[in-house]
Amino acid sequence: MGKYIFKRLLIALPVLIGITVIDYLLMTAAGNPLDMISGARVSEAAKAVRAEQLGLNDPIFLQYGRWIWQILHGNFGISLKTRQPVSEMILSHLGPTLLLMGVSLLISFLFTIPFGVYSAVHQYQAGDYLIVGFSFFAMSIPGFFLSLLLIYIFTVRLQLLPSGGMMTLGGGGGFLDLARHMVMPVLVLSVSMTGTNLRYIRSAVLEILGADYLRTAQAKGIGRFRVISRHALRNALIPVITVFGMEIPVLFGGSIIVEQIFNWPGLGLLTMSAILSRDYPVIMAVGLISAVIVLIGNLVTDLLYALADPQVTLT
Amino acid sequence: MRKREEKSSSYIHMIFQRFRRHRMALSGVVILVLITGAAVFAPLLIRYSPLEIVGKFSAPPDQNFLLGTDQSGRDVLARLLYGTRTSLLVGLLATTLSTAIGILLGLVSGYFGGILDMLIMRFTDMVMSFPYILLILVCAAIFEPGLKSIILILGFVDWPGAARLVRGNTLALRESNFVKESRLSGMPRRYLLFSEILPNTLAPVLVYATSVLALSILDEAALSFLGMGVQPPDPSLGNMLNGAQSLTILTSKPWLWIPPGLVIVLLVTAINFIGDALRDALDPASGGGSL
Amino acid sequence: MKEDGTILRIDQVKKYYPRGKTFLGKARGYIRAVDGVSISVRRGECLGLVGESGSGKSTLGRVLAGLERPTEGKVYFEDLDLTDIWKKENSGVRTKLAMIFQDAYSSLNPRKRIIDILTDPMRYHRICPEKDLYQEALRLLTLVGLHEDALGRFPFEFSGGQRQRICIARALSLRPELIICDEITSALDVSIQAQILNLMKELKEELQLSMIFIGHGLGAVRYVSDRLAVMYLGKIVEEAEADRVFISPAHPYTKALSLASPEPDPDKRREASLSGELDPEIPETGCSFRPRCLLADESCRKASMDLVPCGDVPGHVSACLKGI
Repeated sequence: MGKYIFKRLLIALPVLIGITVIDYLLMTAAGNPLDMISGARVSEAAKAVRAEQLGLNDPIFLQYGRWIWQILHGNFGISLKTRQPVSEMILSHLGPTLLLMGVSLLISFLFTIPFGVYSAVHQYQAGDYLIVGFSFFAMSIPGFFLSLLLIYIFTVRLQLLPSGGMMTLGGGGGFLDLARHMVMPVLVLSVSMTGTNLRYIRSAVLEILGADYLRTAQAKGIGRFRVISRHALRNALIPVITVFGMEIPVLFGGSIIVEQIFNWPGLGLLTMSAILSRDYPVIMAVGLISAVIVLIGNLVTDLLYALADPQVTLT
Repeated sequence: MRKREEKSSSYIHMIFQRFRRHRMALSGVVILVLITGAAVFAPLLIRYSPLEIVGKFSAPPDQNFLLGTDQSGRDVLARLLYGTRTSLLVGLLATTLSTAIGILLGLVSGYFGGILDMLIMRFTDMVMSFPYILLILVCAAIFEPGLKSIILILGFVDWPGAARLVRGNTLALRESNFVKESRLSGMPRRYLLFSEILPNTLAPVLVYATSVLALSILDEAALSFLGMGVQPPDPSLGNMLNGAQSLTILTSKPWLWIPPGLVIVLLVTAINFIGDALRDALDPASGGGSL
Repeated sequence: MKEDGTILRIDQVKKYYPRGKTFLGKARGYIRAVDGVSISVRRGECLGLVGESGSGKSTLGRVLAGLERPTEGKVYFEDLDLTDIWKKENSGVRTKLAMIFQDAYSSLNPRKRIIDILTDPMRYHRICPEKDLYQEALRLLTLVGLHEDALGRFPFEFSGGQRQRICIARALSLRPELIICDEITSALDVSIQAQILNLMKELKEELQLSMIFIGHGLGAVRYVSDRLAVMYLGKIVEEAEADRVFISPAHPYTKALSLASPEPDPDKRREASLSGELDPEIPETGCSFRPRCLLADESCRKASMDLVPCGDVPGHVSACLKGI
């Protein structure tokens, strides 16, 4: 087991380094930091001095090395727009995003696991069609359109829910207020995962239900419910883990748009405003951090695999 | 007796399944043909140009303008049809590009193996680690937004799935007897790769490409919605929804944003239906939907 | 070498596969699929390679075709080291060597019509002018007993036997000098097996082909072969003229194999003399057949497995010191 973790880490390391390289190169391709820092009015001579100070004349790998060194010390630079340290900005926005993503992930799984299993067990019955149909709908509706529809229905027409933000301004706040603000963004994010999850879990359970050992169990006279709950579900854990691994990057992407629409003060909103104002240090940091989180997510998935499936360790 | 019962019930099942599959795929094809047809033949179907100001600002639907007019007084229906055109074009071209890249990298990776394989696969991992939308947004921020750059961005971001798929198939096909025979008889590498291996991995790749097509259309819409994709005044399904970010339009002018949203949903659902049916047809074991 | 008419010669060829890997990718042990085999094939001769599954005969076949690199030892095709056959300047030599596989289903590209399967290699190697390609394909097809209408069809439209015929036609298309047949009849029905065997025998005589015919049934292999080599656990245990091996086998393993081949007359049915199954855990020393041999005694523990002449028949060698 320890060996397996070590091996996984060993594979993840070059990927991590590669990610930083891509991140860095993308941003260097985006433009000269000098032009970003200084306005048009700065003289060429002053620029040259500044370039020397910033080490912009050094070879690119040296600059990259310096950048990495700073990041390893938790220094992601200064935002061009707000002049705040990027690390502080990210830390203050990370909480709301993790809250949103965590709750969405939880709700999506609470919904998709039972329904996916139900759909597989009752294959080609009315309930199955309904669930499969819903999964297609969930896969095909753009998150932003669903968001707009929800706002239109719940805020404009029914006037039930606030259209955006995390807390009511000037209000007392509290859990209920937060929950009311979370309903719609969480719904959109959950739906964005639901389509894939449902279909994946359904087909995985179907495959397991068709497996020989289950027929054996059934032939032994073990009841259908027990067969499913005791034998099938344990093996269905593996696809659930797979789905979990797949959803993390999807969540990150989804949260950018959802936070933008619902004005949710998280990483996505920060990213979007940074992108719109070309605040490269912030974009770089967010890109890097989300890639690292995805990477960690994949690692966790691999480890969960190893825990759930004894065969994995051997390979 | 029991056996016969089982047989007949499984037969009914089979018919049921077949019907379900066909019905879904068929409705997908019908929707797709209708939408594509309307988009392609838009100039014949509609009097107005999508760019021309032809009526009052933000007028609700009437006989003249079936879907009303937008904030600048342009016909929404015309913009919808032409916007569908743009979205389809972006989706198709981006999918073609990314699939081509994926096929090439997958073939090379699977066939040659070794260091090259490792490098390509690690690179694939890296690209996949960046949250997809974020990568697209960053690229969109770097390059001048517009039709061409959105096609290129989507095309260059979307290839990892196809690459992995083709690599897997190539690994298996490389060991097949007919490839070995060809290799033994001294056929050149390009023949092995493009004439022996590629045709045998094309079917699953095409099925996969349908899901990429659906995704590209969704992504184009999202990007244009955020103002980083197709730029106005050119219409696209996504940028037609852009105005709905303002609460007045969202609240009081639903004809401006609901139709393009519905077209996206219909289009993507149709493509997903077709892809699903193709997947089943190709691999009867998957999804339990054996024919 | 050419003077004595040898087309293929192998010298102390070994092929080991690593078994199980340690953390750093080092092998924990090896499966000795081919363990020091030396043999040669003369021009126009068919050498039969017989053994149970797992005896290493198919691995040897792949090494002989150049598909796998031997762990040790050399393979010479004519005067060329076979490991050099993949170099660009030797690509012409490759057409002189063809291989037919057991599984005719995966041997034909499912996406190609028969005409393309046959003509693509001929076109590339400029076997004949472009305009004659069709005629040439037709000639090959007739040679293996198929009709012209097969040319436009896809592989899935044919039965296993027909596919194997197409594979044979394909193998012949580049006018090879040596064909390696790896259990080409094993996956076929018995009646079809006979047809294919007859076809191979005819083709060999008609086209003066050299062949290596790999199979597990002594009877079938003997039918097409001039000379037979019997393999057991990666080693050749007996080699002689085909009939000689069949009629008076010298090695107990060969004897067991010949007894295992079907005998239609129940009165003549003989006792099987092979016990147990082939076990890759080879005894470290002595005769590797010892654990299953009915004649084995203490002396076999120390016996070498070198091939020694047996009897007065030239070219008959066996690895059994009992020399029955």
